[in-house]
Amino acid sequence: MTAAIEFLALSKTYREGFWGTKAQAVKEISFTVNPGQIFGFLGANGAGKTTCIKILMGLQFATGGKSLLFGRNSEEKSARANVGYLPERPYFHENLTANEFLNFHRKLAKNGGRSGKRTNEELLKIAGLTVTPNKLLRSFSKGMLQRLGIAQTLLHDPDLIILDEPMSGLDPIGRRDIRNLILDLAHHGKTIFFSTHILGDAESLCNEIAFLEKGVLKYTGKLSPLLAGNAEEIEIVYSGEPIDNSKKAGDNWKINVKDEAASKALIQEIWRRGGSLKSCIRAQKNLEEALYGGSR
Amino acid sequence: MRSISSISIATFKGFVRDRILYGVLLFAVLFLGFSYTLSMLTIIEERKILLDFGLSAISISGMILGIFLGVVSIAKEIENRTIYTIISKPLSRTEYVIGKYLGALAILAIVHVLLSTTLVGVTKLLDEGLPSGLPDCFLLLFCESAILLAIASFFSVFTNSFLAGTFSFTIFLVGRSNTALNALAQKSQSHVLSGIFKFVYWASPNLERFNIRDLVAYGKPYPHEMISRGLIYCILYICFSISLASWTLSRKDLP
Repeated sequence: MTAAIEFLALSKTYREGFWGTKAQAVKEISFTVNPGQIFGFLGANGAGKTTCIKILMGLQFATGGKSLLFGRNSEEKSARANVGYLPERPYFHENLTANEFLNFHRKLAKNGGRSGKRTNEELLKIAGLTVTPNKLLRSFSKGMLQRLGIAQTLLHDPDLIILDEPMSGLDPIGRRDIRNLILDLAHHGKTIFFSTHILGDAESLCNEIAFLEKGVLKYTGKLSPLLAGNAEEIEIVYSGEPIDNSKKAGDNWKINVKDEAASKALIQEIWRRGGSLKSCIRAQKNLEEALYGGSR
Repeated sequence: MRSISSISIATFKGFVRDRILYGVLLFAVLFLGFSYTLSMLTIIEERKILLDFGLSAISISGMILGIFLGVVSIAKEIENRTIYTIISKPLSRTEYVIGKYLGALAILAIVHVLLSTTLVGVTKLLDEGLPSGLPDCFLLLFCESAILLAIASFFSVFTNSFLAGTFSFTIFLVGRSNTALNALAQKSQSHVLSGIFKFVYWASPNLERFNIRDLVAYGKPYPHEMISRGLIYCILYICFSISLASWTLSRKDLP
């Protein structure tokens, strides 16, 4: 099975400032995205996520290594035929209408040999854009442009959809809609590769992730082992007075104990002091703790 | 080929709705109206005054529009990042540059036809005949704008819109002073200065090749091979500039 995306020791060095000082944006990154996955590309702002995506989409050139799309070098224009791409904070030609914009991109995508069956109206509906298709884009809000950009990625019914920070600029309803759309596309067999610095989005959507820090790949693989943490540990939340190393959690206190025996002893101590038990669950790290350290 | 036509059509549609285009058109029409008023105030040579000013109006508008379209079509598109969703499609950057150029050229051609027709109409209001060289003059004015459009397109692939506009305007001024530059190179005592003048003379487009405005307005003869030579020079210069723009963009990391 050919991988949808492959990064093979990909590096990118920029020249910055007046003297052209070298700056390493991405350093020898290697990982694979298999077909049918929702793959999260994580990292803080400036970690190098967008640089990798730009190289993948032929907008920038690697200074070392290479990237492949369905087994073909992404620098070849034909390699991009089966890919839909939404850039970060998309801007489109403000003097075109939504219809003209979609028709224009449809023709460009069609030259790669792929044509989607969905009409512009259907695509706008899928992207949650309830606007007349003959309205000029200069009157669109940031969120509307984001949704139009998503409609544009689906024009030619590509097998791989690359979204660079797709949730940015969207309100909570918009974010929920995009999450649902990503899940729906994956359900229909599409591969979704999206970058985000909001770890909650990745946690709720992804099968696998790659995590970048300052241009270096720190982790790639499934989410489950990353989130499992110490499976023996139990988290107890209670009201009352603080005990030992308990931490404030809203109006309550939270404490982690190493095993079931310790949890039983602690619960009895809480009751003895007149406290009230709120929850007692097997501790699991969230993605933020797993990637950046710290505990609940 | 289909990618080029798709980009040209989208570029054309985008410019048709650009308010700046109508600003330039308004300026040109007002200039033509001024030429007519001025010609009415003179007692003799009304037609010559009208054509002199009218052709200058078309020349200046063509220069402004050529530079504006060249700068906006690519530099603005890179700055605004509207280029991302286009270049990420299965097309080459060469197709992109050619498509953008042809779309802007179509706008330039329509504006030239509109302004030329207006000048012809205004001249006929004076009840005087039209000089035979007027179509040649219109054609050469269009060639000059088309070259400036190609130069602005070249600058706009590697610098920002302000600098691309400034560089293009400088090239226009140098191109219009080409003969003077050559004369300076010949007469200069200093080898260094002479070398600099010669380099600028050869590196910049000779826009004086396209200037027969005074000769046509005043009914004087001009060598007819100027037209065929001007056309060939124009086509070669455009091909050179667009090839250079395409080569540069094909090696550029988009920001």
